[in-house]
Amino acid sequence: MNSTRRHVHTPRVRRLARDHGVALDGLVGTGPRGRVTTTDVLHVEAVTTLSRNEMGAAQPSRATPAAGPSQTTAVIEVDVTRVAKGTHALLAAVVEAAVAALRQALPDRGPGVGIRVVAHEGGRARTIRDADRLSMAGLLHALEIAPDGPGAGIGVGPRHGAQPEDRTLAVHDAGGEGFLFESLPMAVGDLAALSVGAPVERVAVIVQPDGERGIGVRTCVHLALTYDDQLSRAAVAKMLAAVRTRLEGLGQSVGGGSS
Amino acid sequence: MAQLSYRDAVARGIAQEMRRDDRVVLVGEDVAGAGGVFKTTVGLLDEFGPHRVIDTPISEQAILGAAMGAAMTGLRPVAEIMFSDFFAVCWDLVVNQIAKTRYMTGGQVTLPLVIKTGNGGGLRFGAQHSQSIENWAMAVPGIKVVTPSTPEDVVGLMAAAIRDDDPVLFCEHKGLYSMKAEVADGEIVDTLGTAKVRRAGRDATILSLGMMMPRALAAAEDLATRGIDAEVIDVRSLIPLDTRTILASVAKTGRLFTVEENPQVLGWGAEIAAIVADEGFWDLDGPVQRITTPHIPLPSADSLEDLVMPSAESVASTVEKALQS
Repeated sequence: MNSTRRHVHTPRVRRLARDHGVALDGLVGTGPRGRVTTTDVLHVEAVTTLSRNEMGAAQPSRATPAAGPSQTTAVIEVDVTRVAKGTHALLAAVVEAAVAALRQALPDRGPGVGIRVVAHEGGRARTIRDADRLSMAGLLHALEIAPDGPGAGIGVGPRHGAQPEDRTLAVHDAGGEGFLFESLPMAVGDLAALSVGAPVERVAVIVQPDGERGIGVRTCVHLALTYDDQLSRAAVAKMLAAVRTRLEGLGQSVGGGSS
Repeated sequence: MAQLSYRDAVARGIAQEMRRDDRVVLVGEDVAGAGGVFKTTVGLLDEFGPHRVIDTPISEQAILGAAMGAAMTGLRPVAEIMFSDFFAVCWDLVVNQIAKTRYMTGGQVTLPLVIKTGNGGGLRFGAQHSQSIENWAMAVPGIKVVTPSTPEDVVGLMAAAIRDDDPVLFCEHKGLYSMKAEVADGEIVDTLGTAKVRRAGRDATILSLGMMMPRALAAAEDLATRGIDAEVIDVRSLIPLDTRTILASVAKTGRLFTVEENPQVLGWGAEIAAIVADEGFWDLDGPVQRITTPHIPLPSADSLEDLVMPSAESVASTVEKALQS
């Protein structure tokens, strides 16, 4: 046996790599036993494109802008008082809501599957498949076993066996740095990039159970969605509104409070 | 729309064509007075009379010989071979005569003939009355081979088979005779050589035929609860074969599984696997896997027959394991 292990690539991966100009030699993938998946090929292509665009600048990351159409960022404030405390819980809730909303806004092409958690600098990519089918508990677990640290980002990537045209919804925790939001540029392959800001406490007008208005202390975050011409302005508005509804109604629908 | 059983759908399909075309006749053992040993021809004698619905002696060669002669001389017969296993005793007529006449006469003589037959296992009928023989016939150029899996398809494909100018082997799955489903009112005419996507999915393509279709569908629903979105295709027609639908599905999912009731060696899925390896190779994201009965005669004991035939559970676990390895 040769000491350098020869990785076996499926025909589909080889064709995709050829079409996208990605070299497979030496690549260790996120599939079973390190096999390179179609998602990996698209990710490598994205990073390579970024490096090229940066003219060799220090380190490529998901946050590096892709070449392509101009991008716009829409920002909303969401009351997350009902969401369980903790960065992971918040991210899990946002991912869950965003995936559901994206499916609603784009019934024909959901974001696909698999969560990719990418450490911001030099970290190892970890893929958890089928993000859109995980429960909140499943998402939370996935986030907790994934690399942590400032700037950790989540990509809701294409499904196993996905088509090259499938796109990723990147989710980025900007709260670690204390930012209210970041206008996070999209990477190649992203459908949109969602930044989750630092939770802040606000005195806010709330509607009480009896319908009367009152003043309460609420925990709020900013969600900033960066998108390009793949998504219409109306679809983005619909999606963000759905995310807000879902997050703000969370405690009610599951019948439990934060712990 | 009305509920119709698979067995009643057979009679409805034949009756629909007999009303339309008086050249259509039915011959076979017990097809007239008894309404068929599986009750698939009930009512046809009453409606069309003994000149068009004809009981024969217990001789498969006589049935097919008479039907072939009738087809050569202008009728459009439907002949029943009670159990598909019995093709073994009239195979010379099928292979050397019926399948080759059009070719050997330079197209001067066509055989618009349907051979309907009770096919498949699951009913504890033992090794000589349970076989799935589509692949025997598939190997012979000159015969079309169809196997419907729903009552509506029975009516439509029967009509298409009767209207076709070539011999068609029409395999009715015995295990499905009692199955009921909604069937549209009025005339139904389907198209030979077309597969149907029974469930759309993105992660894996599961091909099925006859009684394996509901099992594949159940497996796909089970897989969906575990995050695998499988596409289930009902092949329906082996000759001609709808390769376009199959290849398009594999291009989408990257993975192909076949669920076959026949013994593994040279089952219909082997031919499709070869076609996909040839024409869909660059779409494959893993090996093609065939789920079949082992290469053994079918046992008659309940537990053993259940054990060897593909089940919803064995399909689901095979697909899940394959996608995770």
